[in-house]
Amino acid sequence: MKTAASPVVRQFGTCAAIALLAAMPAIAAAGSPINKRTAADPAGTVEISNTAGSVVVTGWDRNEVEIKGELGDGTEKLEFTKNEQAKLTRIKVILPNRSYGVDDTDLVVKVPAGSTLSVNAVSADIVVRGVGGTQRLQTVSGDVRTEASGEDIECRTVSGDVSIVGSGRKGLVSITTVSGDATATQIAGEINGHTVSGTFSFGAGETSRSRLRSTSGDISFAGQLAPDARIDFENISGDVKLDLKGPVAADFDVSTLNGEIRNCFGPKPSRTDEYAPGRELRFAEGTGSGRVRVKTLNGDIGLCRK
Amino acid sequence: MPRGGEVGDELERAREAAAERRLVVAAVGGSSAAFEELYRRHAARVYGLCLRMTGHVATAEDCTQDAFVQAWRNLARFETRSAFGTWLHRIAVNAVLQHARRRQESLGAEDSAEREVADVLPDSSAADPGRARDLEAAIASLPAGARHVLVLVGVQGYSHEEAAQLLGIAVGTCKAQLHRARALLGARLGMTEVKHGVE
Amino acid sequence: MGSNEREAGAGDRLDAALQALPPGIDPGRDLWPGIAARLEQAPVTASRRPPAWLLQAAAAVVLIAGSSLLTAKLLDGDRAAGKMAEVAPIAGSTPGADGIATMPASFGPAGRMDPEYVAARRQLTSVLESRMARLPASTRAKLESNLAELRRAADEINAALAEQPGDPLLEELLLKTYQDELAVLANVNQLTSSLANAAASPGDAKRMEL
Repeated sequence: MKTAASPVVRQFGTCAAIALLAAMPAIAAAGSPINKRTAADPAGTVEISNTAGSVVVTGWDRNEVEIKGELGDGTEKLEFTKNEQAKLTRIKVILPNRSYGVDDTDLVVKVPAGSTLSVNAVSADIVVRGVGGTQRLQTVSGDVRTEASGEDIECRTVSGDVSIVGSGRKGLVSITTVSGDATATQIAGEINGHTVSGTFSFGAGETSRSRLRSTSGDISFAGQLAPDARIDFENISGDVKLDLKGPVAADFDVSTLNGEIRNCFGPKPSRTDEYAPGRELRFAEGTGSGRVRVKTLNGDIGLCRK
Repeated sequence: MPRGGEVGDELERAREAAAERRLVVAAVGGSSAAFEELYRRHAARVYGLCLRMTGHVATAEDCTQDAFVQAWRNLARFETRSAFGTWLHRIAVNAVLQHARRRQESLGAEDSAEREVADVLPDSSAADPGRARDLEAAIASLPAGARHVLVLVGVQGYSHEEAAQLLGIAVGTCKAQLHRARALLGARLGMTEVKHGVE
Repeated sequence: MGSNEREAGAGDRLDAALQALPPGIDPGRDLWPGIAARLEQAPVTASRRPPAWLLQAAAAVVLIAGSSLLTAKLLDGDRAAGKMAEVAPIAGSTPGADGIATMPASFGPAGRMDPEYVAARRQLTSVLESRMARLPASTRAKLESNLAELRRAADEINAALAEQPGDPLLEELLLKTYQDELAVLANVNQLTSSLANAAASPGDAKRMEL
């Protein structure tokens, strides 16, 4: 095993007051199986980055991070580092410069269940189970699957699909894709989504805030409004379907230029202007302390309560 | 019994405060020249606050300018008895928060959009030596809520109660955010390799 | 030394380091001229006040791209006074020299495109174009077609605005479309940043070769 001749100054360099520990060279060449385990803070942060293949992360009740897998051909090495107090652990698949046609690396990682998790991938899929801390999962074309347990989850892809299964507990869910589809069920709290052409389909419990924006992908949202909910959906050409469960107490402001508005409760939509296209629907339901705004250019809007 | 040096300092402070009060009174009366002098005296502190709270140079420049413009517009409301600097800092914190709120509403993703964009575009003004310091960089990398509290409490020296009021959050949240900020800073300032099997 | 004591010591050092940071930082450039210019603006009197929806839309137009705070100016004084300035021709999207087409040049009838927005977007697209080549073909194709969709949406809304100038729904949707496009560019740039330097971490550059 080769060793570096000199200590490496890592990302944040030295600080006058904080001691810095040198990083030693990484381990594991391509093709060799990986099986390592190290102590880790039960509520620390784990950062994983991989290019192609998959990253499967499972939370467990040991205060350790374990990594198993095999490096694909073409990768240079796997880097596995942690800081002095084991509060930050990093797993990184390193590619050589100007690499093309890299084979898949499949990483199977176990982390303390309370960890904060950050995963970065290009085409690798990301699957997460049983992690209770904040999650930042991003990939360009891989798919993302995770479970939400009431913390802060952010998933971002370009073309990969996102699938989140919640636990009913309130948290913050943010999903951003360009063309990837997203489904999220049993989530609650604050829900944000942004896509260009992906189809977004959400099933939620009590929702306090939700901003969903799309250019052409359809949006469908079934959920319950919190008493002071702020709901803001915008779609240029895709449709918007909003199904409300439970008590509804909100001001509704719904408008479209060329789409249809269909609502199963409240007054009928009216033309915005006698001489121009455009329909709108504005009314208050219950003692409206919530606010629901839905705007489209061409997409149809369906609003119903069950 | 105050020593000579301390008395001297006190006198100096009183003189400074009186001079500043005169400037403020003149500015309240409409003198933009007096306001410019106030700008010269306070710009660095306001900018330092904005830069550390936002983490990005141009955003901090905008917030600094917004703060001074807001101060000018609201000078009539300023009671010249209290410290101009403190009042100005409050306005600066509000400018930072307002900016963050507007950006969050327009891009719908707290923090991530601004950080990712900063990754992409090399900020040529980051050649400033103050920015190059690693602790400053680590502060800039904190998530917004933790960063705001750390700058106000850890760097600027506000109490938890003052910072909570400035940020519009509960004191308990403020303490929790500070704890989180310190933990994240500590974690980011040192990395080491995992060399052997089970450790 | 127990780990608690080590942690406490580190915490004290952190506190000391934080307090040692200078409270003031000199701005890299003189910000006063920008401030002075705004001090000279006359306060908005009731008669000249733009309608509420417009203020709301203007607030929503604050775009962040690159390292500067941008404002896409929605309208000029004539609009505020109720007069429609002559409708600018809707310039359709034109392909840039190497790939990602520009957004429609006009920002609604009588609107002007903020030069900072244009510059920042140009920078974002040039970085992105260099990374697109390293994306797998199918991903690249999807990305291009989605960016084209955003441009089509902007074209469509601009065309509708020509028919119904000042329509608040259209103004709002148009603003959001421009913001969305910028956000997509920034987002994809960040997601593909690992493609820019395959050796990944900055520390790697300093490792001694063996």
